Amino acid sequence: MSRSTFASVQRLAALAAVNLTFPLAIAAQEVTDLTDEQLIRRIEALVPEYEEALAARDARLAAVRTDERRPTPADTVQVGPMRIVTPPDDVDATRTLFEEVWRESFDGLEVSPSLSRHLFVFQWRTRVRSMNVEAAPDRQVINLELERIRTPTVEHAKNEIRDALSRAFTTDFPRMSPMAAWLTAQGHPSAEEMYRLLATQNIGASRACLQGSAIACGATLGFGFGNPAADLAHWFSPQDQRAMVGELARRRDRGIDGDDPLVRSCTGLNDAGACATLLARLQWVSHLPVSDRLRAHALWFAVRLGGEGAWQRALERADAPPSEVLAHVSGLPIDEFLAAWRDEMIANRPDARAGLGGKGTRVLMWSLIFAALAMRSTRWRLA
Amino acid sequence: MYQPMLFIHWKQASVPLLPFVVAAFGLPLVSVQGIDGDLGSGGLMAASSPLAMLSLPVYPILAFLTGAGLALTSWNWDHQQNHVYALSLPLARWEYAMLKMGAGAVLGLIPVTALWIGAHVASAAVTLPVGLTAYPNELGLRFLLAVGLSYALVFAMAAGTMKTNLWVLSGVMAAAVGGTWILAWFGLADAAVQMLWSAGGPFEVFTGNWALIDV
Repeated sequence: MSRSTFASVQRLAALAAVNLTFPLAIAAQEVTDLTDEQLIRRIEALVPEYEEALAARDARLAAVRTDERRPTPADTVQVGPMRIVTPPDDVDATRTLFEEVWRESFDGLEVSPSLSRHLFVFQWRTRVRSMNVEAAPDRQVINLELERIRTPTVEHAKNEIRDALSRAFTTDFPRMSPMAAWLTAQGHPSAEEMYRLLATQNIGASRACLQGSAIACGATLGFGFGNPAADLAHWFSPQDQRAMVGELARRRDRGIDGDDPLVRSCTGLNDAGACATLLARLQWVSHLPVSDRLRAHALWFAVRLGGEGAWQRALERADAPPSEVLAHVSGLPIDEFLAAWRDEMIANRPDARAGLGGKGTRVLMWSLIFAALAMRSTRWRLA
Repeated sequence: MYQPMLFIHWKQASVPLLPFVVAAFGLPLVSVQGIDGDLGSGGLMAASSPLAMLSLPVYPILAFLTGAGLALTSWNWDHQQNHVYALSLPLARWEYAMLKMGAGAVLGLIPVTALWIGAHVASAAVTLPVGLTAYPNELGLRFLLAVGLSYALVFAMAAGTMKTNLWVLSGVMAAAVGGTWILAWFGLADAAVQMLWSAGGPFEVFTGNWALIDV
């Protein structure tokens, strides 16, 4: 609005200038009848009018610029435990969007302490404008200022909200806890996307998981290597195992020390047996040749399975190994949980077939419409 | 009457069609490069391999260009000769256009078959792990429909007068340049995209999943 208003003011000024110069042009025809002195007097008489017009133009432009800089007023909306600041005319849409996202993905997470520590600043409009947001020192601001050109649909907007909320929940867990690592910056992964991710991981564990091995699903998520049924040699290539141990040694994490002879054998001498022995000792690892998003998905799935109180249970065991947390949150033994997670993955396998079904009929119909238009061409009549 | 029409179109289209046939056969083979069922380097594989990802938008583009090329070669010689041959035939205009269109449609099967064979060869050339499947038939069918649609669209435009085409193309250009902003301004972008490219729209076949190998 502001830029177009600015342009229209400029156009008005130009019009005014033209209106002023038009009489001058007519007068110019009479110039020959005037003496120099008369001419100068007439020009001088016009100067105040010209200056007045300039002043009016400057005043209007200044008003437009001030209006442009003035922040949009803001209202606050409360949806569940979330406080959202939004422009007054967006209040209803904001409430609807946040309520839908909350109901669909985060129902039962009212206990999250992080939500009361955040303030969501939300706009979803053609041109995002600055808003009068009152400072809230006790709250961290999450900006969700979405332009319609980049976020055209309701579903896009809801995904952005979902991701922002997921990131806010991350701060519920202590910084160094396994769960904080699982959720960091992951957003809220969709089930279909996760199936595709699981199927395209280049590790044997994910393939064994898809084939029905629950313990391999655990290995895909980074735990269960010490299980007697674990088949590390088939789940991870020697390079992958070496990289996993090497990363732990580099960080001196989980008691893995680079000076340990076993670690040196694994990382320096490429001893696959040493790598497997070291990994079998650990309850879980954080560095895996697998997308982090799968782990985030597993946690959100556990929360959904666990129902009421699930998030509270996750917070209670924030420092526990991931397998314990998942079992505690979901309310299922870990093997059952992993089997359920795998079933969930399989159930959400995207319909990837290019097979067209009804689409084929519709494409044929459009082709026939275009063909009919070709039959009705008028070229010959005009040629 | 159909055979001469097919022969004339074949004479016009055989050379221009050749690169499309080669591309249609080769594209599936290129898209499976780098896919290996063996374990090794970690990370992603198959449907997510760089060449597979790069080739995804190329399939619909190739389909459109193939259909458009066929349609243009169908009318080009006719326009150049001021329709003398067409007017000398004892046929109504619509009959002539239908025969001409049918001839082009048959020629369109050549690149489609090339792609279908290429997709089968490419699928057979790689070992796919559990969870991934090759879809050569579905890809071939989608390519066939996309070629058919773009052929019909460009055929209809080429059959029209220059004036009509100028109007249509100007409208499309104006919509492409200004339409997005205008629609976004009124919050109608979703509806417009839905109308043209999603289910039921004329161009829906060009969107969606063009992956030869997928989950």
